[in-house]
Amino acid sequence: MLTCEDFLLEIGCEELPAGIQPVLIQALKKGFQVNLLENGLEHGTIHTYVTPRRLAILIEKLQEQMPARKIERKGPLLSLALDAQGAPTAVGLGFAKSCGVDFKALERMTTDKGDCLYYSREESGQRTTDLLPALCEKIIKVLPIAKSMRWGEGDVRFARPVHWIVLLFGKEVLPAHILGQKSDRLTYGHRFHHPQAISIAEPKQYERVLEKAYVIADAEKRRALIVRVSKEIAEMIKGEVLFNEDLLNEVTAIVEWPVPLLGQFDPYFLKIPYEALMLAMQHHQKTFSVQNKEGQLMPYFICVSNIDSRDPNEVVRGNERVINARLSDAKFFFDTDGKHSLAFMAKRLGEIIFYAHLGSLEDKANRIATLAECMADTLDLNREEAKRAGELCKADLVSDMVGEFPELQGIMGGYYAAHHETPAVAKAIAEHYRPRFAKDDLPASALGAVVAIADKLDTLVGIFAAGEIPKGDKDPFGLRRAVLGVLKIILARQWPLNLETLLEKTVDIYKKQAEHPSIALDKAFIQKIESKSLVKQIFDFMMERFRYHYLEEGVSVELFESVLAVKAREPHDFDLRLQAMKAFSQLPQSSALTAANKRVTRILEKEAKTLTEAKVQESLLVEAAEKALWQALEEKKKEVSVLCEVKKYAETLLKLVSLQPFIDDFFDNTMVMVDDEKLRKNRLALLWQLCQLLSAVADLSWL
Amino acid sequence: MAEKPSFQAIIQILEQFWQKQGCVILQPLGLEVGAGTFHPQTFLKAIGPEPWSCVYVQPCRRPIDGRYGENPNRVQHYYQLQVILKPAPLNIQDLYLDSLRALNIDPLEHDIRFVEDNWASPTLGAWGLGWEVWQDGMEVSQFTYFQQAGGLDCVPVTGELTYGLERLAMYLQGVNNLFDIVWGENASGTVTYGDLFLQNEEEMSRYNFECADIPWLFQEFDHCESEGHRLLELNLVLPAYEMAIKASHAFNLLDARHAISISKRQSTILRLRTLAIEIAKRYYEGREQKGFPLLEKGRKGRQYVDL
Repeated sequence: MLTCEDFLLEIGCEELPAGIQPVLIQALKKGFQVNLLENGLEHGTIHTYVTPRRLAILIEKLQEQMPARKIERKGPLLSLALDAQGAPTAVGLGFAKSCGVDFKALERMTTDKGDCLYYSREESGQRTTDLLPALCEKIIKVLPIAKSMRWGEGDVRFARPVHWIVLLFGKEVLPAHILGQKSDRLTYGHRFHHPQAISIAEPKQYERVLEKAYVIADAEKRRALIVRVSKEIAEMIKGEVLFNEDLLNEVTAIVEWPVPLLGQFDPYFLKIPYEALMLAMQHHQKTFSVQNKEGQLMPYFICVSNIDSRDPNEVVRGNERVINARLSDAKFFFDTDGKHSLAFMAKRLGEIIFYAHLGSLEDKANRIATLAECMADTLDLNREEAKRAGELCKADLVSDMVGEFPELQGIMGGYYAAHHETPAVAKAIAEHYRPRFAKDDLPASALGAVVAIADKLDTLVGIFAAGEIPKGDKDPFGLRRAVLGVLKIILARQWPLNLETLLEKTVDIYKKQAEHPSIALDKAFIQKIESKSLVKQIFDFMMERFRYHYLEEGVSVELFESVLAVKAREPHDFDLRLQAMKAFSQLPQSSALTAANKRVTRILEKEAKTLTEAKVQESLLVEAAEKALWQALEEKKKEVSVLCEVKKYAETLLKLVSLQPFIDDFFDNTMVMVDDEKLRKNRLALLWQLCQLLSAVADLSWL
Repeated sequence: MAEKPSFQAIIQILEQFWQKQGCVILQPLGLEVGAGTFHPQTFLKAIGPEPWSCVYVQPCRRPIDGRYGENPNRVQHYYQLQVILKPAPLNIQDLYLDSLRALNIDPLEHDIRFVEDNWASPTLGAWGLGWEVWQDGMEVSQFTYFQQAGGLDCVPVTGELTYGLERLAMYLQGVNNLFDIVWGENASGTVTYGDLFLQNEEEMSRYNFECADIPWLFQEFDHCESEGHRLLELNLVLPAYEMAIKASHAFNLLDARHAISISKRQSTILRLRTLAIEIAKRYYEGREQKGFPLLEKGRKGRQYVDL
């Protein structure tokens, strides 16, 4: 019966950055799980704790000893290990030596090749306590710290200086030297409420001992406390807290003893754009905003302090002062920017380089304008507005407000445009960076969607032409996100936009611009762009992203490939086909059709691989089955073509199902590969045409 | 809080505090700099193995932060109090907190927080990890463990503490406008920050944003840069460093005048950085040739007493 003990490791350090806390604690847990498993050590529940000043892991019921194991080795055949006299040869003695025993101690074993030498021994398991220090070191060494540092005179590296290490196995301290510190049972409480050392008698006391010392070690518990108390506070002013997930995580990670407090700011500042208010409060000041029941922002905020202050009013007053100061600064920038129109700001875009060979931001804005105008024509939108929004969409980059709050790019442009431009143009400018991150909203207006697509395609084409193709985790221009953005927008809008045509047009616009004498872009570079291959390269890159998008949504690789194979160039059309196929593949009829399709493609692949065009001559159809198939084919062809025209792919697939009995009948009663060449060719042509028709929605052979 | 400390008292308290912790009290550098880090007693002393600890006040200029004296929190000229501890002792955070206590800031009343803020000065080829220190949500100090200066690894690591004196004073005096800070008293009565600097902010903001001579500043930048390289050839490291500082200020003024395009900005910063890295290298070599004299001195210990 194996005994076990609880295990505790705590790394005590100076304030860890909020962002890496969840990463480090997850990696620590994973590290232990993997290593304990590798060593055959069983254990109970693993608990993790993380605060700004500590990373800790508590493993319940960790086995005290590694399980015993039998070491077995098979040696050389006796014919090699013994000489004619039966004395051990060099080979035999060598094996004994490698096992660390005398030759006489070796046993014999029978194999199908003959008898051989054999060695075995029982190895009792190593004690866990002997193993753990080295294991901890190994796990800590590979923690993913993006920015590690040295401190003092040492050369130890960690995210922040390390002050203490608690390493307990049951009631015993495991002696070790980790991250420059000697292990002990001493931890420290809250930096101000309980700076003294606390002795931990055994692991299971950890959380309780710390709580008495004003530290809630469990991040989840701190988080829940922040949410609960903040809500209670907001209710007192009949408000609702705007909890932003990222902010909540961050706030949880910068406190050990959270105490939410209510603060106020000057209502005058509610005139500042909402986004700027939120940014100042949430991003810079790490406080939660509050709205009333009607959804309007209230001049209040909730800050989460890290102490149970002797005078909480002092803490509130300090925070209020900072928020008011920040908002007053934002107001200053907003008013300064307001002295000029957005069109005036746009004039300065020529000074800013977009990318080395690709000219200035003014050049970029002009290209976006042209592409947006062209898309507006296709989509029957106002072309003047599309052009205008394109020209002005980057202008706010020279505003003071965006200089101060870069996160507000586009949004500020929208506000400034509202003074002189049409509402549609202002909205398009405000929305054109969307989606800015994975779960961001798409542009809400059609014009915004057009400019967003145009901007992203322009970047894609330019940056691809410059050879900056994303590799691994290197995607400095966010091209993957841009592609996904384009696809998502088109899908949501159900727009009939052909990607290839759009890309060609974009390259074309670059080339046209390079002809213009007054433009600052690298003309020779642009002229050298090989349009066809570039478009193909980007198109393939986009399809890769498309695949990723669908696989994320749970679509199977086979379904995706089946649609990809028919070269649908319009994302919307692609999606309709895929959805139809997805539904169809669930139907009972689908397997019969795919089986029939398989019979067709198999023979074509073998006998008519290079066929690209084939006419069927009716006069050469002799068998009843082939005549019937031909007739059915001709009929369905018309129906399918009508249905495909209006993109009714589900119905199309059902029409195709009705061909299946004819196909099976044909194969059962007709010989394709007959000696008569004319007949043979005619039958192959028939199958080829059939194959074309069966691929009207997707390449069924993938299923 | 019983009595509110004047601006001058805050400086005195902090200087005395750090003097007791083994720092020498220095005087500011007599050149325009954007931060106390530019003082050779920080930037150059952070290079190489020699120990160093000092405290000083440095007037800083950031032309682009000017608000014509209209903003209660932002000015283009302000003061930093800088503490350098090399090597950074393991209890440096506690020492810093004690300095706040010396100012009667009670961490059980005020919410003091170390919030991640990694510092990098592209023009100095320097970076470090650390925090901004928040007091009730207000950033009152910067706390940095230097990892590199002038492109050289900092071994041992220098700890740099930078107090934003105006913020701290506003806080301790409970004023909402920087210009209302009480600097001290003289024969005529109370002297405020506004008495001393409001006109300066109004006029310097106009100069920085509207009147600074752009072509001349470009010339100055180019001249200082080439002088810096020339002086290095003559093995004049400190004069070369002064040139780098002057070029850096010219750059800041040009930036405030919106005279440097975003594309050119990057290459201009790179030119400054190249010079700083060369200076750091030469400084290190020079100290090495002299046998890193402060290493020896550190072993001998204290000989003078401060009264």
